[in-house]
This record gives sequence, structure tokens and C-alpha cells, in this order.
Amino acid sequence: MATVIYDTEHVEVEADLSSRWLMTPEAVESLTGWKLKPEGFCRGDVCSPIFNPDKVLSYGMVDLQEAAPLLGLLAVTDPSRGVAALTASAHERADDMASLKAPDFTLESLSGDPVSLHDFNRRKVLLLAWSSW
Amino acid sequence: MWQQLQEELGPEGLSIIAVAIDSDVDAIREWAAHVPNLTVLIDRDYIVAERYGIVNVPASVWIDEQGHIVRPADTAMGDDRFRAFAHIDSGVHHELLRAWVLRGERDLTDSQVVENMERPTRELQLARLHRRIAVALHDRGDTPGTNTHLAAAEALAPYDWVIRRGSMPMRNIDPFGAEFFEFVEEWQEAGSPGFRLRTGRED
Repeated sequence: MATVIYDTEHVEVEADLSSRWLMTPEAVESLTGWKLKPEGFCRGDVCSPIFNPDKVLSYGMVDLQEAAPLLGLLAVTDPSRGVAALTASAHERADDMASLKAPDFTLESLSGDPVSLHDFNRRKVLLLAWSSW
Repeated sequence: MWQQLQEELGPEGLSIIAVAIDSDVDAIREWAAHVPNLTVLIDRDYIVAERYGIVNVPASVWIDEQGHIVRPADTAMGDDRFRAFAHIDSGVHHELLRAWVLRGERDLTDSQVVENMERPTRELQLARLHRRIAVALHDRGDTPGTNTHLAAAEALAPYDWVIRRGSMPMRNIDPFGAEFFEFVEEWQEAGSPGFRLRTGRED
């Protein structure tokens, strides 16, 4: 079993975990939206060239941890336990924050219903982070 | 007090969304029972903490009707229960909140909001990823795996309360016990890093 945690999603992916976290280019595309092309990883009109193909690619498979920085992402992989996690790079996250646009999110309420920030459109919102610990 | 503020300011256009940066559903339910008119959500993977730069709890972020952040993450106490420990007068934040909701007055400009945000470092982002993996492994009952990734997270973000203190329950450590107070000392020696705004601070 190979699970990639990406935001709130836990996605089961096809992966070769014998030593590194290797995924098919198709799996990387469906997870991140970036497609492997001769010019690099592309999404829409934007392409990110692969300067270190020996690290990023292996026999047609993509090393998630090495590829992530090319996609504006950061990955931690644990191939032996079959779990990886993926999120925005510090730089991307900092840029998002500085835009002052409140990032949307969808989380479960106690009754199990999904609730999103955008459900509160046209209201002032106090986001209160708390915990029992 | 949050319950009271929601009652008072709800008709004026305010919604309080209480996001539990927590995975203990029973404890969340118990707290939520005291605040029946707040929207209570569960953030096991610390998604909101990451997106809004929340490094400690309780914390608040203000978002206006157009979806713009008008006040960044900052400590926000519901009442003065922890005043002697935290040296924060909770009422200062509540008064600022009233001024914003009732009169549209902001205490910070956009550029001050940006300056006071906790923008992440690479290390902090990596710590958050390790923590997410730890939660998934904990769900599977993989204790060694959980501890490996929590240790990695703590080494990467040693002064982030959400990472350090928030991981204690998963490691069966009392978050109000001796290890917590050791952490507080360590954190103070490092200059008490955290939210920059320090609203209502008395020291």
C-alpha cells in the first residue's frame, strides 16, 4: 500500500517503494496536475525543466521527493512504511499568505459533515484555532 | 466568552469558526458542548495551522466579507483563566473584535498584516509533513513509525507549540506535565519565539 497525504486528501497511489518513492508520471500528474513532457514538468503553459534527471527520473518513473521542488512542492517520503506527504514549498506558502487572500479549506464538523470557509461568504469570520492539549 | 461574543456579534455579521487542531474527537466534543452556537471543525492534519501560520493555540485570524485576511494569526484567549501564566489580558482582543465587527475599524493595515504573519521556513513545512505522516501511522497502530516521524518533526521545529506540545498526546505524554514545563523553559531560553503581534501582552 502506498498513501500520499496531500492537504486533507489521503490518496492511494501506484508506487515502487523498493528503495525510493517512485511513481509513474501518470500518477504524479493525477496527484499534482503536472505532466511529464520532453521539456520538463508542465501544467498549462508553464513548464519546469528537469536539470537533474538522474535524480528525478529512474527508468521512466518519477522520484516524488526529488521532483517536488520542481513543482513548487515539498515532500517527505517513507517508502518502507508506504506513506508520503506533500504540501506547498515554504516559498509558495509564504507567497500565498502575503497575498492576504484567505485560503479556503474543507474540514469535517463533529457530525461528520464537510464545512468550508467559502460557506461563510459575505460574513466576517473569526477563525479560532484551539485544541484540547 | 467565545459563545457570548458569537451571540453578541453574530447578528452583526460575525461567524466564529472554531478549528480544533487536534485528533481527540471526544475532547473536542466535550469542549464543543460549551459553545453550541460556534461552528466546530476538526483539523487532524493541521491544514489550517499550515495555511494560516498558526504556531500556537488558542489563536485567531480575522477574515473579512471579501475573503481577505485583515488580522493574522495571534494568541486569542477566550477569558483570563491563563492570565497568570500567559500574561495576556484577553479583553484587549475582544474589544478590537467588537470595533471591527460593529464599526468596521481595523487596528492593522494590510502591510502590517503581512509583516506580522508567521511565514514558514522549509524546516517548518517539513516538520508539518512529518507530523502528518505520524498521524497516519498512529492510526495504523505503528508506534515506532509514529515516534520516528514525530521526532523528526520536533527536531525541525523545536519551538513550534503546535508541533511540540500538540504531539504529546500521541506520544502518551501529559501536555500539562513535566515534559511540557521543560519545553516551556527551553522555549523561553530561545527568546519565546511565536506570534509577533502580542495583543494584550502584559510583560
